[in-house]
Amino acid sequence: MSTEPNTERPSAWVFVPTLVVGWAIIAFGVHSALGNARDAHPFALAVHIVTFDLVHDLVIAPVLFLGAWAIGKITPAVARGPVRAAAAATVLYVAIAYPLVRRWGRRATNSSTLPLDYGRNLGIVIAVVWLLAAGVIGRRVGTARHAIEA
Amino acid sequence: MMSRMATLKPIAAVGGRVRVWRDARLSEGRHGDRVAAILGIALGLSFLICFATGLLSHLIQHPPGWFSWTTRPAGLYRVTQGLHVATGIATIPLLFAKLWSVFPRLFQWPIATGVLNAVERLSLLPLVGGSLFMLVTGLANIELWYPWVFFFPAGHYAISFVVMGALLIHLVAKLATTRQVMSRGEPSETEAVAVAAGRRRFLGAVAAVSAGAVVVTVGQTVSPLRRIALLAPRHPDIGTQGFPVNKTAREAGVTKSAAEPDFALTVEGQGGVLRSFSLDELRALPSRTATLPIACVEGWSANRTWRGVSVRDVLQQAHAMPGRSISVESLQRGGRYRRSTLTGGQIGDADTLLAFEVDGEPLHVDHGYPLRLIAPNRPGVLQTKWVGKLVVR
Repeated sequence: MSTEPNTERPSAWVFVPTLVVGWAIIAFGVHSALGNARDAHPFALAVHIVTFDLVHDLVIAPVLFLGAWAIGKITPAVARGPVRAAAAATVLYVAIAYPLVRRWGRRATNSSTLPLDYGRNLGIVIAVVWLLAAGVIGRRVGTARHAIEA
Repeated sequence: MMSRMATLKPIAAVGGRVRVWRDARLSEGRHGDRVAAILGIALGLSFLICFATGLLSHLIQHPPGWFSWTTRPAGLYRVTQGLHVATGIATIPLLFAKLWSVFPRLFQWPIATGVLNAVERLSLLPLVGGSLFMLVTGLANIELWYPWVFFFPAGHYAISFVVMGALLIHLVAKLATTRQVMSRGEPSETEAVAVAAGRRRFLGAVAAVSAGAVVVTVGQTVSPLRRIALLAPRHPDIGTQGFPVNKTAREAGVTKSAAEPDFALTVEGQGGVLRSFSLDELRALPSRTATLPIACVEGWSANRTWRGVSVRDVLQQAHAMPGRSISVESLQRGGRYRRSTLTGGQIGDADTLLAFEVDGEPLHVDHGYPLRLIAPNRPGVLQTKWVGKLVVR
């Protein structure tokens, strides 16, 4: 099987107008930020976008690949996929819920902001994720045993 | 010359290793073309839904001259904004899965195969950075956490166009590949069954994580799921009088002015004050009860039964000439949302109320006592609280 990424390309007749329209839409967004600079802070927006690009490519993606590799080294083949999936889900749910757990958006004068026990709730969500992963691993082990016995 | 060669050797060795690593990853189902195409289609749809619903919300809040927004169905905004937030949350796992899946392609060599390919690859910078920006800041916004200097709606609006422009370029650039890959059937003859199985399991896991993120948050607007809304930043049943408050009277600085015993609602026209109404006078007018949702831009919503007087009845009593719009002004001295505008059908709708009761109780000051605007199919930020003045324009 070829490992080269598919290199099908659109024709220049389609792609050049698309580039013009696409970059015009991008320019409208930039213009909107510049035209409303007092609220939008265009420089800060640009810094954020570049930072997100760099943090993803230089930190998040390499760390995830290293994590997946490490899980592959320490878990048996039958559990590798479910453990990787559960670990990824855990990282993601923790990232989503972390500001809630730390109550960064809570306002002392408003009891309806972030009103739940998010630490406990995040624990429940993660427990469900790992229970599901354990269930999948158990089913795989059972299927493998049946196959050997047969 | 010799020293230059000696410098290049280690670089070439690293390049070779990266190529080997990249090729090994691309031979796995979860980093293949089909996964990239399927996740790309899902992301294209989810970003389109977020953009359309977000743009609609922006137009409702900042209506240009050509735009008018219907008052019916009364809960339509609740649906569109709930969809916006839920789709945004579902998109977070999809985006990270897609970026993880295609990450080995970042190390393509040569970096670009021509000018068009170079421009296309350059468009990935605003696409990736902008997409992450939209999802991360959108999530922080619903979690009421603002670790940045810009006004969230202004930044979110501007960057949404940057992302959509870059997405259009990416979609057309990948259209031929996607079509080819999707028409192959599954598994393809040239593909190992194990690779196809790995791919299916990967996509299944991504879908499950994405669905899980929605299930534990969407209860803030979908009432039947509120018991399992474990990570919802708001709970539709928690707050003063049993539903959330966006800004309290204390935060708005109206605790004193809202409690003034000689409170009066003023109606102004082009020639100045037309009439003032005390609270007792307003209560003596024919009242109306309506069950209407309060639907916040941050994605939570709650249905409540409101009692008050129709804005149109108040205008009639004040002999106000029907104008093009009504500015509804709060007792707040400042703040971006201290006034909102009613136009056309909104003014004429009998359920556009100045409410003084909710669920059979007098309004709490945090919900807008003595009077708040509640009208069908409007974002919560436009349901002005502590109303002190109507200005006919």
